[in-house]
Amino acid sequence: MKKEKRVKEKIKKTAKGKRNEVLLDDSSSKFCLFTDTLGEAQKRMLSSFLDDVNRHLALPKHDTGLMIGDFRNAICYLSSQGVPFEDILTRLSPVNLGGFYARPPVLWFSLDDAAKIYPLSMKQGQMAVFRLSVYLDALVMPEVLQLALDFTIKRFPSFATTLKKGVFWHYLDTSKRRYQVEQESSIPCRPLPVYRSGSQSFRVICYLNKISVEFFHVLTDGNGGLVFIKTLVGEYLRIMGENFAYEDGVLDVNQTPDSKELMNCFHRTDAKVTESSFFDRSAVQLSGKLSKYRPYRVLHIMMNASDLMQKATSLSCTVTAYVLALMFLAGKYATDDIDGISCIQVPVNMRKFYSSVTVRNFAMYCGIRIKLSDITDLPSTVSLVSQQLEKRSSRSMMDMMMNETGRLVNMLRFVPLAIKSPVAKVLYGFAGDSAFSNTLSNLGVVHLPQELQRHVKSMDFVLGTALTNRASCALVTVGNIATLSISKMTSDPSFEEKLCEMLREQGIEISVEGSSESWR
Amino acid sequence: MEMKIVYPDKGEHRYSRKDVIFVMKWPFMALGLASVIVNICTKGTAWSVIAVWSLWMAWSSVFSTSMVEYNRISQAIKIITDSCILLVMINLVFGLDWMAFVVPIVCFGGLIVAGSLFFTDIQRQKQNAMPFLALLVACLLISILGLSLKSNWPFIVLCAVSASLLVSVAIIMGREFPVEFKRRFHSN
Repeated sequence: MKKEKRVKEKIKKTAKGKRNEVLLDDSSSKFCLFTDTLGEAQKRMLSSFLDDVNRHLALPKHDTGLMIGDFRNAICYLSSQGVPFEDILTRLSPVNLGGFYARPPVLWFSLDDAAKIYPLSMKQGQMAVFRLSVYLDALVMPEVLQLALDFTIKRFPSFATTLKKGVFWHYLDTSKRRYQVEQESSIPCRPLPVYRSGSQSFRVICYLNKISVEFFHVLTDGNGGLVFIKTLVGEYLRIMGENFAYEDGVLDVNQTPDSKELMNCFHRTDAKVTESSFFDRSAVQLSGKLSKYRPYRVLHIMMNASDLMQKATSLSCTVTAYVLALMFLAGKYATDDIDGISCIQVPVNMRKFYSSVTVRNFAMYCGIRIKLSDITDLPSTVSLVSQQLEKRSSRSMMDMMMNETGRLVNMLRFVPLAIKSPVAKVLYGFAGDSAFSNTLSNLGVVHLPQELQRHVKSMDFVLGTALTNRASCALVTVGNIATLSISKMTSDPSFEEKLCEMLREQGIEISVEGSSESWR
Repeated sequence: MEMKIVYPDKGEHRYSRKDVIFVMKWPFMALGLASVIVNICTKGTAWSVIAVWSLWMAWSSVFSTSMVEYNRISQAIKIITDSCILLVMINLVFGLDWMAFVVPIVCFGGLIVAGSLFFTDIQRQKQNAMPFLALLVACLLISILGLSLKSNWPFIVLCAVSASLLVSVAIIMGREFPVEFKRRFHSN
């Protein structure tokens, strides 16, 4: 009777304010039952362990309670998996919390040049969010993932921030809090509620065997996001008992962050030429009514990477050029326009030109523009795409664009945000993405330490909503699976149907997965 | 096309703020336009300016709210500022003479409200100090300007309250006070 009362009291205490919690409701009762199975010596060890955890936390009472709950949940889970008690305490050592949660927030970060436009142009229900997902070989345990996130976030100080308004620009202010793992919802890449005090600009989601992270673009680009998710997955697997070397972009969470990782690298070019322009003629759009809820649907076309590589090599082009050519052909099929120019936006990772370890935005983009009448068959389209891709994604062109970005930022630096913001909204509303028909962002082949690679089945990379483009595509390859993800903004399925048909015709083995249709 | 669903079910349809904005923007625009047209047709004082500003106030406070730093202090300050502008408009449009008396009293009330919100939750609200500081500075400037033109007790009270609150916030924030300014005024 007494025990029951104690359990109920603990549940009541833990349940207070537990909104949106992934953790199980009966976590406290589980922990009480678990402690009852321990011997006196182990109980003392556990008590001293939890005291040590408490010493590492100087958060508001609510967050401290939740974080102690995270430790309890992870201990219960690992114990239920037969992990020896001492081993559990070693894996979950509070040393992994570092001083992050014990110190007051002092750091702040001005937005990098590419990030400055995102908060200026966002609207209700419209935000530049992208998602990276890793599919593991076993179900993801939310209690362990939460603790992995608690340990990982300190390694990424520019992610442990909240968006703020300055007089001239927005900026990121450090926010010391418990960053929370969420449940998957039906529609990926939903806008993040960045308006709240201390709100986070990314979300970690788990669903079955998938760990996903959705980032607001102010924080990072695809490559920076990749480092974060790889490190998070690495930490998750470490807690689960895997040992591996910190290499291939998996960071040691207990290492002090390097200032180079937090750098705004957009001022590194020496070139002075600025001929590039952000405004271009409107491109042909895929047909179909724009959905009110975006993305309307997300599809993942999983392809055999060797087949894809082989096909590209046989046409003497890169995988990016090959997929772009297929997208141009599918795009022509999916539009009612007869003439005009089709244009696909291709983000370019500037890290390939400038050695950089920054986890912030460091990407520019180029547009591959082809007349609809010139899009006839695959070989000729591949040839047109390859020529343009080589020229337009070259270092000199990217330098020009980087200069232009810097020039624009410099020009607007003393214009108050109150003026910049509405003007940017109007300009972005008019010009927006109408200069492009579609987007293809290729993250390339993702390398992981061998021990982690064994647990990772595949990955996907999803781009968020566009204004007028009916589709946005992103490609990522892990092992022998290349996943092309399409974020659709319309219910018209002709683009993806044609793309799949062509891939099959080309002899590439594919399988299609995705979300159900959203409301129109 | 055969496709395996790997996301949870979409669940029940819920209306978002975006839907509400989409529906409500039309009556708001129609009301604003109608008031301007009626005002032009009937001639006389430009009362439609007040109507349009009031509609804007309601729109920006209830429907299209701020997407960054939407918190109780920033909202309270926004309402106080908008209300003061509305009072000044009413005074000017109808040629009245109570502006110098009423506006500082409203500002004083606003300072008390914003101050209460700030001082009752200092640890968290330190993050939202800037809008409060901006209001304090604005009130101080208004009161100094007001006193130089017309000396009355509301301006004296406003000046004293805003100055003392400003000093209190500076003391509470300590070294964070200049850092907060550096952050908010950065231009790179």
